[in-house]
Amino acid sequence: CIYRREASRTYRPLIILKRGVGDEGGADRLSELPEDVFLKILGCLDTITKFRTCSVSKQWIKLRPSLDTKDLCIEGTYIDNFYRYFQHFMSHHRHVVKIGKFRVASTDDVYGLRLREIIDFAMDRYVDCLVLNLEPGYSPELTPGLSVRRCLKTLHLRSVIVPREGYLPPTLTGMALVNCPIYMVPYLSCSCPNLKELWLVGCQFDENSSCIRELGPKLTKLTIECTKFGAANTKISAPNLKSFSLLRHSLHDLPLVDFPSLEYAEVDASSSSSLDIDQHLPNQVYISLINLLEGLHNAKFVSLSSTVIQVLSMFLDELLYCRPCPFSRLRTLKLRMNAEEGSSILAKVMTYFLRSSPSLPPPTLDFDQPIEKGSLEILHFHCGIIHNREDSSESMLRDDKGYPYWPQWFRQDEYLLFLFYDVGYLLGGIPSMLLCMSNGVFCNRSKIQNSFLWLTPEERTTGEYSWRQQDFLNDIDDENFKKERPCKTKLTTKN
Amino acid sequence: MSITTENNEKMITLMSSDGEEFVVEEAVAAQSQTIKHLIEDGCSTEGSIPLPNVTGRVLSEVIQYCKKHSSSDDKEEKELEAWDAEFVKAADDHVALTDLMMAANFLDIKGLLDLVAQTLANMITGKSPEEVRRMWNIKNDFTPEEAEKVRKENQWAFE
Repeated sequence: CIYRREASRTYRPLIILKRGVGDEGGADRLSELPEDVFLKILGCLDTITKFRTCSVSKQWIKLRPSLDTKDLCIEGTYIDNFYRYFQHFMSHHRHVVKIGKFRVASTDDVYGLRLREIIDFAMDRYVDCLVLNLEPGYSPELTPGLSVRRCLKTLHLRSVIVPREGYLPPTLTGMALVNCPIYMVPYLSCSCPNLKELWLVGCQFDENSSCIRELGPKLTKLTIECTKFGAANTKISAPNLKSFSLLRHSLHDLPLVDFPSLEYAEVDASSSSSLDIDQHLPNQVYISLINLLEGLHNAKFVSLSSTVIQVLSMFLDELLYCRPCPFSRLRTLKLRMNAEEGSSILAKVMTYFLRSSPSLPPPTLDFDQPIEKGSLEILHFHCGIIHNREDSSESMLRDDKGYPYWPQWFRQDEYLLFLFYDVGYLLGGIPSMLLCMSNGVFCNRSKIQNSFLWLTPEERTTGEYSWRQQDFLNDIDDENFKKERPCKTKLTTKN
Repeated sequence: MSITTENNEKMITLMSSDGEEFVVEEAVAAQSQTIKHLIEDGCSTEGSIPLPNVTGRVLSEVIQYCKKHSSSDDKEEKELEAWDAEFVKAADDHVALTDLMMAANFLDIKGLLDLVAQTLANMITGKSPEEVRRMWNIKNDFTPEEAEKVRKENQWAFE
C-alpha cells in the first residue's frame, strides 16, 4: 500500500541515497543524509560557517552552488577571494543568483577603496538589503551606482559619506546611517519618498541643516541617537510619523518637533558628555525640553529617561505648574529611572505629566474636588520612587489634618494602592490605571521584582485587598509597551 | 486496523522497520504528513502502517514528540520550547540526532525536522572543517592538491 499510490502523491525517497565514506571507526551518518536534508542543516548556519563546512568532503563541496544566498555576510579582508569564488560560482549558473541581504563588514579600509565594486556587485544581484559596515575614520563617499536597479529596499551605512541626494535609490523604505556625516537630510523627502523608517546614529549634521523640514509623507519611524544637530533650534517635522525615539541625546541640543500623527515617543537625554545636572543649567535647556515634550503632545505611549525627570524636577515650581500637561492622549507612561543614583520623582513632575486636563490648576490637598478622568492606563516605573519633596526626610507626607497626602493625579473612584519604601506614603485612587514598578521595594521591606498590584472591582468596593505579585515585566517589555493594552487589563468600573 | 477508544479517538498502528508496533491516536500520527497521506489514502484500514525506514527506537522518540506537540496546541509556546530543548538534549549524541533527522524527513514532520536541523547546525557552528570531520567521522577525501585549491577558494571564509 505504501508504494501503491506513488503516482498520486510525491513521497519522500524511501531509500537512503548513498552510503557515507566513513571509515571503520564508525559510520559517517551525516553524509548519509539526503542532500535536501543536509542542505536544511546548512541553512541554519551563518554564511561563513556554511561555506566553510562545505569544504569538509568532496560530496559536500558539490553542494556549494545549492546553498541559499538569502543572507550573505562577508567580514574581514576576504573580499578578493570572495569575489573570485563568487564569479566562479556564478559562472555555473545561467540565471543571476538573487541575494536577499548582503552584508559587508570591514575592520580596515579595504572596502572603502572598493565601494563601487561592492555596490555594483550587490546591484547586479538585485539585493534587497545592503549593509555596509565600515571602520570609522575612513569614510569613503558613496558611489552613484545604488539607484541603477531600483531594487534596494533597505540600506544600512556605517562611516560612509552620502554626498548628494541623488545617490540614494528612490525605492528605499528603510535607512540607517551610523557615524555618517550628513549633508542631504533636508532633501530626504524628495530623494527617498518611500522611506518608512530612518535611523540616525552618531551622525553629525552640517550647519545648514538646521531645519529638517518635512521628512517625507511615508516616514513612520524615526530614531535619532547620539546625533549632533549643527545649529540651535533644529526643527523636525513629519506628517505621518508614528514612532519617534531620541536617544542618548545632548540636553543642549534638543530639536523642535512637529509630529501630528505620533503614537510612540521615547526621550532619553542621558548623554554623559553634556550632563552636569547638578550644575545650573541654562534656561534655554528647560525651555527647549518643555518645547520638545509639548511637541510630542499626541503621543499615546511615552517613555522618558531619568535625566528628563531630573531636569524637570529642577524646573521652578511656579513655571512648571503654569505649563499645560504635555501629553493630551497619554495611555502609557514609562519612566526609566536609574537604580544606581536612586532617582526619585517629584510629585510636581508627576502632576505635570499626568494632569488630565491642561487647564487644571496646581495641585491642592483638597480631596473633595472632583477630578477629571484622564486616559492613562499604565504607568511604568523602572527603579523609581515618588517623592513629594526634594527633601525626602519626611517619611510620611500628611496634609495639615494629618491625612496622608494623595497626589491629585491619582483618581479616587477606582482604587490602586502603592506603598513605596523609604518614603512609605500612600498613593491611591487610580481609575483605569495600572501601576507597575520594576525592581521596586515596598514598605513592608519584602523585596519584589517586576510586581504590580491592582484591585478587582470587588476589592475596590469592599476596600479589602491583598498584595499580589506577578511577573508583569514580560508583558510590558519594550515591544509590548508600544501596543495598546487589551481591554481586560483596564480597570474600568462605572458606578 | 483501526480501533476506536471510548472518547471516539481513532487509533492507528505503526510498525517500525524492526517489527515493533506502536498504537497511537490518529491525531498524533497525522502530524507526520507522510502518515496523514497514507491514512487519507485508506492504507491504515488494511492493517498496521509499515515504516520501513524507521527503527523502533527512533519511532518511539518521534511519537513522543508528536504526542507532545499534538496535545499542547494552546499551551504556552515557551513551555513547548523548553520541552523541545530537553527533547533534543536527551538525544544529544549526534548519531541519534542524525537518525531522528532521517526519520523526521521520511515522515515529513516539519517542526521536528527544523528542530533537529537547528540542533545539528549548532553543533557545527564554531568548528573547523577538520573538527567537523572528526566529530562525524567523515573521511577527508581530497588529495593534497585539491585540498589546497579548496582552501584557496574558500579562504574568505576562514579566519
